[in-house]
Amino acid sequence: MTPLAPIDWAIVSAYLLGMVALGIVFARRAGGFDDFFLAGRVLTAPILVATLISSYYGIDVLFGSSQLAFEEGVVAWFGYARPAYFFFLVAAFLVARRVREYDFRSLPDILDRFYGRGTGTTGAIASFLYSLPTLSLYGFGVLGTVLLDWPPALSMLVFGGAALVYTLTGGFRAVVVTDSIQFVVMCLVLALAVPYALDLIGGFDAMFEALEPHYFDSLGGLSMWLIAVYAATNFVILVEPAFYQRIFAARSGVSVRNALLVGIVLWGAYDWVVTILGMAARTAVAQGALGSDVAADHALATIMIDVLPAGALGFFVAGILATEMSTLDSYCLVAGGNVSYDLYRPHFRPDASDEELVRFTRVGILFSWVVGFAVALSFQQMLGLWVFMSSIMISAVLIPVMFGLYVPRWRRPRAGFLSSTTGLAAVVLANATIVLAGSYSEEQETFILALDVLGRPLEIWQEHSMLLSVPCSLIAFFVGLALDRDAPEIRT
Amino acid sequence: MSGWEFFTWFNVGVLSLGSVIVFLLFLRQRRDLLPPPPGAEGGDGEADAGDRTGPLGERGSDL
Repeated sequence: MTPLAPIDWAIVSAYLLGMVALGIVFARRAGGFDDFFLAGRVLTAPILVATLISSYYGIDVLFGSSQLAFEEGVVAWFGYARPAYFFFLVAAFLVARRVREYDFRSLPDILDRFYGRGTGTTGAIASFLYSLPTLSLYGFGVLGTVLLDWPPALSMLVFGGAALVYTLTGGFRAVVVTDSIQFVVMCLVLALAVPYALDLIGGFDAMFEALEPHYFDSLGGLSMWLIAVYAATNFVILVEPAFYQRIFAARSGVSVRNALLVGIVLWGAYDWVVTILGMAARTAVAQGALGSDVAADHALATIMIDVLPAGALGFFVAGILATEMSTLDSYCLVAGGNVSYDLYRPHFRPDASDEELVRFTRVGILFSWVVGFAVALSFQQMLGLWVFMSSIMISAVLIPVMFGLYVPRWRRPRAGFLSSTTGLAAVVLANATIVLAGSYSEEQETFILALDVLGRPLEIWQEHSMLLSVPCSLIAFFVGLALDRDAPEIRT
Repeated sequence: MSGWEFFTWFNVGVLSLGSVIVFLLFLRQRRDLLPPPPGAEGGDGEADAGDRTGPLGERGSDL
């Protein structure tokens, strides 16, 4: 039985129809490829803030961080969320302006121009896999089950379908405009939820009484090693294809830097509010206000259903939909660009017209959505899938992109190609070994390969795979550099 | 009021006020997102951006 009242349904329906209508409006105004894929490169800082925050934060962050806060407390913010802000700072001061100095259109485009077509293709494959909207569609499935009592496939089709329609029709302009609306909805809804949740549990004093002291320990009960491993996954920020797309679409590097600095403050506030809501849900369970059988990852949604009145609940559901739709649309568009601009154009039609590229981008968007839908229906371990996708991106792209940007004399074809392909192969091999030879740990929610090394037990987690693959990519880069030491430097 | 409580309400304020301010700035600059008129395609993106910093002076700013 759905907890939504008719007024809630009306709000959710109006939100969905509004998003689709925006896509249709922008469909009539779409121009060439730069216009469709990069919105004509006119994004200013406020627009970038909205689209960066709404794209990068999906319900995996919303439900994942609240789950961790529900189970472990404030370490969800201090240990897991906070390291990401460091990488955003690095991106703001070191990456954004440097990247914007060139006329790139996509992340694989950087590899293509620095190292040649082979490296660009490897980067395009990694970017396409990373950008598949599997997690977003899976999130819609969970959302429909928890909030609306719908079967997962129906939720994926309705909510994921709405995002697909406006992305297909309106391109990046529609994505950015909808992102901006979705940004304010998702932030306000979350801020609105705090007083309701604290009122339910009796305020902070009740939280201090109900929760164990480790809930307020900034490192919780987690080891530094585990926190360091999770923090390392934030390297993906430096090779985030949707982030790079926004740099290329920005009016200037300064706009991106300013947007990231403002964004870090808002990301921090968002993460903290999610953390407190997760802890409030745990308090409500301890007090008996919520059932003790509530799933940790559904805790935030469950407490909101319990406390929000009719009307406000509709806005909350619209806010959660906004959180995920803004992520899905961005990554579908990136995947579509990988298909058309980074794979189809260089390999089949180097002289493809703008119209042809836009058409193939739309085909790519649809293709990525269908593949993401199929994987979301058939695969259950989403955390493991996210770790795998992030590892692929970091392993295949990080080393050649960073060296290419900062050490121009190292832009040698074999250095880039060996680095990206070796990183990609190593991460696929490492993940396959851990998944096939190891076992899934329900407690840690990851695959673990248990080894015996000289009589001492050693556990290798799926999250550790990039600790192997990134050094492989680094070594391969220098091997390629040595092989190409007499080759001329590639000038872009 | 404890430090945790203060930090929470501070962040609630930052999130709500910050998002509204960013959204209002987006609304002021929304015309930037309108595509160029038909026939103006093919130009450099940067040049396009500059061409359209007209009626609203703040459009050319970086925030």
